[in-house]
Amino acid sequence: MIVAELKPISEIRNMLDRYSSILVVGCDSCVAECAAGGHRETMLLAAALKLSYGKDDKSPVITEACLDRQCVDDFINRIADQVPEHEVILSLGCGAGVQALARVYTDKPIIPALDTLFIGETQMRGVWQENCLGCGQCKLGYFGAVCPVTRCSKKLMNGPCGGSKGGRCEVDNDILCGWDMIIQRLQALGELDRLSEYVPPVDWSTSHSGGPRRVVREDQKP
Amino acid sequence: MKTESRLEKVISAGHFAVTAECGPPKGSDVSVLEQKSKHLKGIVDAVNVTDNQTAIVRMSSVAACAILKQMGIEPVLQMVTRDRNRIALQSDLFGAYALGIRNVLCLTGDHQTFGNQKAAVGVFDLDSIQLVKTVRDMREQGKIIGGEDIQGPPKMFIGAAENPFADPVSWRVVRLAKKIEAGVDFIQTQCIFNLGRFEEFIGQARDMGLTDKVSILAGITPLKGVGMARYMATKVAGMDIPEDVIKRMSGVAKENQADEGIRIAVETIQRVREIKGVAGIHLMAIEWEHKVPEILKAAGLAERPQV
Amino acid sequence: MPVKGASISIMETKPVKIVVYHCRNLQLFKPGEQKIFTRSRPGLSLIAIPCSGKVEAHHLLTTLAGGAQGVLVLACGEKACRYLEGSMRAHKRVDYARWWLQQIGIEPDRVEFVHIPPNDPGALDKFLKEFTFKLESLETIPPVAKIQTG
Repeated sequence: MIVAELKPISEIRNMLDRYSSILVVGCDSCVAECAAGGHRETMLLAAALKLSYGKDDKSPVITEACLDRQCVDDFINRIADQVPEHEVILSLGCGAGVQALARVYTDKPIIPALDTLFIGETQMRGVWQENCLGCGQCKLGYFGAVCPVTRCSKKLMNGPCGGSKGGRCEVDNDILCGWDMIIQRLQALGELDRLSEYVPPVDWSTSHSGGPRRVVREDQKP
Repeated sequence: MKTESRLEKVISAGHFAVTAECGPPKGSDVSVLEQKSKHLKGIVDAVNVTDNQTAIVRMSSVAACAILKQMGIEPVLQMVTRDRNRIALQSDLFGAYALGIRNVLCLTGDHQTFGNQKAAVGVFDLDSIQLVKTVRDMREQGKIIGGEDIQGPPKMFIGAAENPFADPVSWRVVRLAKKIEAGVDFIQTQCIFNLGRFEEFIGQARDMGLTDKVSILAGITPLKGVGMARYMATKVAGMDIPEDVIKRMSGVAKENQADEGIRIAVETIQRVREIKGVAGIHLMAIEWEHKVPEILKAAGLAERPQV
Repeated sequence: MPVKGASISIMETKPVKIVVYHCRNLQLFKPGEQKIFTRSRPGLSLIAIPCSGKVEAHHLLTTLAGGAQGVLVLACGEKACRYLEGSMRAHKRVDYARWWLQQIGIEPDRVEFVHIPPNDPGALDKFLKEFTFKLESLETIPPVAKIQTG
């Protein structure tokens, strides 16, 4: 899912200070899973803002709401009655949610409360790991289902660089060397031969390098 | 002969080749290059010019190579894939060749977080093996990536780096084979202190028939002091400095450590000369270029062949 | 209106609002005793919960934002928790809530995680006295607009 983190409250306050009524909207999908923007985090942030403003002798109207998903109109429309009553929407959605809200509520400023980071997995409670960069040309089958684009800091396609040490990346000892993982997995699967073949330069045009992407399915349209 | 490279001539003629390294200045000060080349001209067969090494901004490698060429030195253009996409890399290869450069060393490059522009994007459009193949296809087919014809194709002598000491160790020889497949002509290794492991690596390469297909130049770095030895052993990725080397450095008084470091370098050179499959050395005396003539003299390599 | 500084006069005129979430498994009060305990301690709210692990960080901040000056979470010992992880989780959540208070610039000591021995309301009483005294020396958190939920 999409993983995000809450911004520091000082940064959120700076963006909000010109408004006197705030609708705080959470999202119970991806960002709830990574404990950044779900209904719990929305209640926490709303309470924190009230305490923070109170300390500065301010009391803007702060209303909480939470959507099942902030990137789909059917859900976004559920706060339609509350939006006009507030000057601004503070969104705890990922970047997709923030922008979808802006597309629907065209006359409202939308402020992001989160920094959206990556597509990833929950490795264990409290630990989220980036594992997909959305290159648009998935070759995971050739690399033992470990992505060389995402898990290698240099997006290498033909094996590890000279900086790999003890299974760790030269950038940070906490980062596992993606190529070490690929080799180990293919070794365990008995498919190491997949790596002797030369991998040619990647076609990045299907990634964001080709411009912001769009998928249209006529069979799915109303 | 595949190219006009002087380095290729030296190796093809069967001489034990000697290359050195030169880091460009952190600016446009040409006098730095003039100073360094004074110690290297005529002393070595070719000089590598690094490409924003450790992601620190320095004068462009192509420009510095062209300047060295003007000074009568045979340059080896180091090219990393970290900073430029395939358009820029291929363009730079055209320009470098036009400026008289005949050798290129294809590298991935240290990650940008190591240097002085940590916020920069890391390009990595190509990896080093893809770059090797690109340079080879330019030379052999006269085409760029995608197949379009080149107007005056560059014909470069192609090098790559190999680190016999990086992990996973079992993988290093496989990766070397891949580089040779892709078109590499010569290899410069990471600096060697662990001779046992290096001999093992060359042995494996020999067994796979790789030493007949590629010229391997053994990396040599003289230690200036025990501090440098410890730093490299712990802080630099892919470095293997055995404990007894560090003991040897620390066992000597501080003012004598530089000489001891040079002694170790000379001994290492003499030992690698005896390993079957080693075609030469790559002497990396960074910011110590003035010691190169002394080291080569002590190792018996001061007379460079006239080819 | 926010009252700053003066502590003694507040103690005499306005009782400090404290909310205590106490784990039922501590069995602090027999039926009817909880009411008697709170009657003689104005400003105190006691809320029994099935396990201290039922409390989450947002409850703690919301309680403060709703007018409490201090919040206590009374829990069984971490190895004694009937639901195994509840007490440990509650402790982490209290720490998290305290971190939040620090970010806002409000005294983290307003929220505390406490181990009280079971069946010992006297221990609670003692702790409350100390806690109240500490809170009285802090600047009062001004009353906040009632929480509206969507």
